[in-house]
Amino acid sequence: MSNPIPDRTEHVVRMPVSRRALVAGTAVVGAAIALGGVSVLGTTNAFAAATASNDFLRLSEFLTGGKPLEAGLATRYQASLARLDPKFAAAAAELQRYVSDAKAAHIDELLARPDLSEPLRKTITQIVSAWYLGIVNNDTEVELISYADALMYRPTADVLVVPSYGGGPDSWGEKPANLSTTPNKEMTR
Amino acid sequence: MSAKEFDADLIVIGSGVMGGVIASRLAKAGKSVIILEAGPRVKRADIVETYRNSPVKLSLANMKAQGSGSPFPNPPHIPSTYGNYLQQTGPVSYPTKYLRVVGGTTWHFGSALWRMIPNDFKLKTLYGRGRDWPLSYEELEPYYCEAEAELGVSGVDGQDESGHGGPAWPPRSKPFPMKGLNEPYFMTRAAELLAPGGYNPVIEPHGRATRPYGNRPVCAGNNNCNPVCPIGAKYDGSMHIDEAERAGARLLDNAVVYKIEAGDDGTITAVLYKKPDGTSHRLTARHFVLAAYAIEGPKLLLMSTSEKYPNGIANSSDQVGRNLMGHTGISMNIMMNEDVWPGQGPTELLVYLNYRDGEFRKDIPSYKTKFRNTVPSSQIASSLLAKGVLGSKLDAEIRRQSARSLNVAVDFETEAQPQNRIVPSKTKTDGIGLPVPEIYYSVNDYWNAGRDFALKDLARMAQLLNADVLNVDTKHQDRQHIMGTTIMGDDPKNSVVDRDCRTHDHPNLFIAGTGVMPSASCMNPTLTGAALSVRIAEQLIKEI
Repeated sequence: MSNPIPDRTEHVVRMPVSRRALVAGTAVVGAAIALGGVSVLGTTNAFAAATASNDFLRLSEFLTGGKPLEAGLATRYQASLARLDPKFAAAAAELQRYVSDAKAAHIDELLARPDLSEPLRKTITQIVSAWYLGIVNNDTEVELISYADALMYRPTADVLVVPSYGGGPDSWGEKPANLSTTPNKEMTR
Repeated sequence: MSAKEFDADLIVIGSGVMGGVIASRLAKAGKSVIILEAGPRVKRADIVETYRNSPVKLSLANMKAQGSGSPFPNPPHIPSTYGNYLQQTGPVSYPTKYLRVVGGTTWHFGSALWRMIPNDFKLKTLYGRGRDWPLSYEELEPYYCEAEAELGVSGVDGQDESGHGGPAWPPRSKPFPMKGLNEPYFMTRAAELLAPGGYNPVIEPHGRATRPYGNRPVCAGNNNCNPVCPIGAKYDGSMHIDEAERAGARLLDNAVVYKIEAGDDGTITAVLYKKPDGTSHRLTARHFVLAAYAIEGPKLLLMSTSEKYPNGIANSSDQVGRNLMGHTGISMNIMMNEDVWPGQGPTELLVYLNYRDGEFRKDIPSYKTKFRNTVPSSQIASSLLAKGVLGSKLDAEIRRQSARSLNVAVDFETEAQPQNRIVPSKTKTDGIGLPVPEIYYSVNDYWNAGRDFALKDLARMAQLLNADVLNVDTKHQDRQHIMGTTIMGDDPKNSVVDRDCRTHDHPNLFIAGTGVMPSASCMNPTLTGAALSVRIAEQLIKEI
């Protein structure tokens, strides 16, 4: 099926992930040289962090279907995921390498690959769940990163409000236009 | 009179809708009024902000999440009912959620404001079940009108609220104060599909403004009625407290009343309250109204023991705390085979009342069937992600399921049964050393028969809607409608208050709210409690 969401932007990120900053140390320096020319010791850490964060943003955009996401949120999701799961940073780097090598044009193409392992799929779900639900959690803690910008509201944004952000008096009642959804049978696995 | 002899003409315990209606009326009549509220004042903007920032959000669309969080305060002196404050000792859990803040539980109510119908008042006489009221619908009708005006009820005139698709019922001497809201599309469509089965839709009367009403703006469809209306279009008790204070009433917040004192002649003389720091304080008044809802109210009466009143205040009948009722229910989730999009507008319900009243009430309880109208994104997305759905399919499924999932819930009337009761715990105390409520609740075969009947009825509705039944939950869902723990009756031997809501044992103590209801009907009880409160206010103005 085609994308059910009315597209608001022409911009679809297709090749989101570089191999920059995938591995601590050499990769960071390599990236710094490739992008900035001369790397000066002392600025490397901040630059590495920014680069890693940018890569997480682009990885997130790819995993959530290709539409642009907010950089500030990416930084916060990434920090929270890393804080609540000590293995996250390594798992995300692993996933980033895989995605970069796979050169898939769309997340669906990546998900269809037979060599996509369960651990990689788990990391994808972890990142996508955070962005969609707006929260990051482990067994003992749950942290909210975003409410109204949680991506779970995006597929229905033309019909339903985010609760507490209503459409105003008399903003409902008509039969919603653009009702097309996929029939039940086609969606049954 | 001057209040020199007493701290006030009237002390009202509890600042919810019931206490608020009485306090504002008495203050406007020039009486000196003190309102004691166990919890703090809250600001709407703070609650909204806390709600938005909370990682776990309440939703009526997800019964499982109901115990998991509330944006209202939870300090040690008023532990939240969303935690483990209420001790359950019976075979059926009664996990009700009331709020101890200025304005009370209506802050988070869905705001359904129904009248009972005449036959609901004669349950025993007509159907041999439960108890009769000492009052008739006809006697209460003018007070229903006043309560509707006080709370600002929006409704559709001319509906048969007995559910039979007949002429307007119950009889009303005044139209609804405000017209109804727009109906969301799913209601129109569901009603169309169910009509051939003889199902008569009833649009719920409710407390959302449909025109500017007092200080309230028009409902903006925030779909956030529970836990909080972000704009104050929906009625809550804080509005009457504001009115009472403007008219001169004094409100003391964070004042947890823990004892009511009575003289040997039965007259109530004083109340004692604790502040969060543990200090005790005493206030006197000519008259008292207990309006602390139907768990904390009876708990306070039962805690107020003395040599003269070893069983507590107002409890010569041993009925205080007993006859706890609820609208213990079941529900069904269905998947339509067309897009109907529930969740548009506020969370007002589409209601069916085909089994509200009739001879069948001898065998099965009266019940209402309600279609929820709650934005379902969170539950749907969580469930899909838990199943590992990703990619384009995730978005497509969120959209399809949002457009087609409906939650249909049934609320049953329950009978007054003395063994269902609330008592102060003998073993567990709260942050200021007061006993927490202990609840014993059960259902009888009458309820079970209703459940079995309604399950067939729900299946039939699903069929008419061409919907697949995804799941059915029959595990005694609590509807947060507490009734019956200080029951009303003519006989002081088996009831706590008389037809005027005055305690049989103490002439200057009234009990306001749904706790006095001798029968529950299947309808949300707030408006009935408010009508009785208006009636109490009228009586008090005469007496003070």
